[in-house]
Amino acid sequence: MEIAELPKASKGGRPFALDSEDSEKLLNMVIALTAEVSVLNDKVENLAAVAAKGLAFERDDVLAYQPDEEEIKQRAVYRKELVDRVLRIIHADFERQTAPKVDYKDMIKMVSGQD
Amino acid sequence: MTYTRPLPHAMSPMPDFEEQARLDFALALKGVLRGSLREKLPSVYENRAAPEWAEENGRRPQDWREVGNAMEQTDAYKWWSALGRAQQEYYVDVTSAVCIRQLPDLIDRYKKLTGGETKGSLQLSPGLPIPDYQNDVDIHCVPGSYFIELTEDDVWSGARSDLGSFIFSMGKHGALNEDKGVAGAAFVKKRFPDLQVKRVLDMGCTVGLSTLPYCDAFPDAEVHALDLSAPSLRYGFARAQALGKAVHFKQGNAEHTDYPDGYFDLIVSHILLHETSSTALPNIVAECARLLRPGGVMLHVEVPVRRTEAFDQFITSWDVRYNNEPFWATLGEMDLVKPAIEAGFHKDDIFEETVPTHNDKVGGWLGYGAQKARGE
Repeated sequence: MEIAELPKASKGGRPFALDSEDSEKLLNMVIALTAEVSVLNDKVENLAAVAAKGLAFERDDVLAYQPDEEEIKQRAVYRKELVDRVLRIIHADFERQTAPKVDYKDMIKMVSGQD
Repeated sequence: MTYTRPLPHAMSPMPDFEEQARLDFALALKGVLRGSLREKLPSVYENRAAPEWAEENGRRPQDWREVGNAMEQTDAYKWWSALGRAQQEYYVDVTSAVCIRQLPDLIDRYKKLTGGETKGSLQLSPGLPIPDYQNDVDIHCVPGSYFIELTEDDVWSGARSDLGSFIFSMGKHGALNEDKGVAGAAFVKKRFPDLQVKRVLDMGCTVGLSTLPYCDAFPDAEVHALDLSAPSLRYGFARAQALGKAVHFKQGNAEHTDYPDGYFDLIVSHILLHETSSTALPNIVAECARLLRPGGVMLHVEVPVRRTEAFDQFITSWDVRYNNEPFWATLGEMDLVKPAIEAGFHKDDIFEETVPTHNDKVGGWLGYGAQKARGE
């Protein structure tokens, strides 16, 4: 069966939200790389579970392992924490921007008693 | 209830281990974007965006466009948008890859499920013109959209749409992503308890996610479904066989169909209108008026595009710029009574109400419709 190649770009242009398009392209690469970290963690967790339960240790058996409800929940927690760690600076930035702006130079003046 | 996996059926594209792990990551990322980060945006607006905009303009932003001008200057909104677009492109890429890898098998399954005796039917119209509002932009940033045909008897876009819809809605719209159809059918039954339904038409059905609930809600009715996309209809027909539902799928344009006058008792659509245009929408409403029998009902279940607060309206319009939804914001401000009156519905028979969701989508769906006058 001949299957044509799927295009990579969607029609309609590609808007960039950040001031730098290059930075946003790098952001997309970071997201894809972080996803691969998450994939690797799932593999490690499968290996650990298979080993702990004394199940068959062939590659296909390890990949076919189905986590139970509790393991699914633990992995979901890991993924959220992974995302939060990678986005730490964004979380911090959001936190700053939910408060009125404070100019750090004014702080220096205030603590040093300068006008 | 939120589901972590779609309910598998005989046509389901099945992610392998790594693909599923990537989809789980995409869901986790979206959870953070739509959760803890999204929740802070109103505060960013009140504490930063609005005061800074007011300082420049001598007053606070008045409408959603001005709110947008103010928010777009903040780093928080820029990063939220950049991450949102990245998440969208990422999960689209993964779901696309899942379905490409399995395409020969998916086509084989389609042929087996639809090759013998079937429930319902499938009628395609090769060469059907695709209107510009669908052809010139790949809705939801999906390269190839709903129309690309990669090989003979292609079902790729339908399979990707089935899997992708579940990921996009984060499993909140049911295990079969059926919430809009379930909600629409329940709304019709409650609002029009005396409506006798012998034939239903679902316009813009894609793969029939919202169509199949009407088979259950109106078990004695003949259920029809119309869409522009041949790959979606092939997949949807096979999916309906897999789930044991009888639906008559047809390829066609909802603006101008070839069904006879007065053929249907109930015409529905689900998140169709916001994918059309200000020209197409009145045509679709007029077509509904033609196709309904006297006393018949039209219901368009839409995303909740009407927001009373300017900030909410702006955030709701994020998809216009970043998710290839060019008509979304226009629909949010459109007078929907006018096209219905022009189509021949009586003013008092036209409604715009909330359709309660059957899962946990806050605020429900927007229900726009009308009942055709009796005795005309």
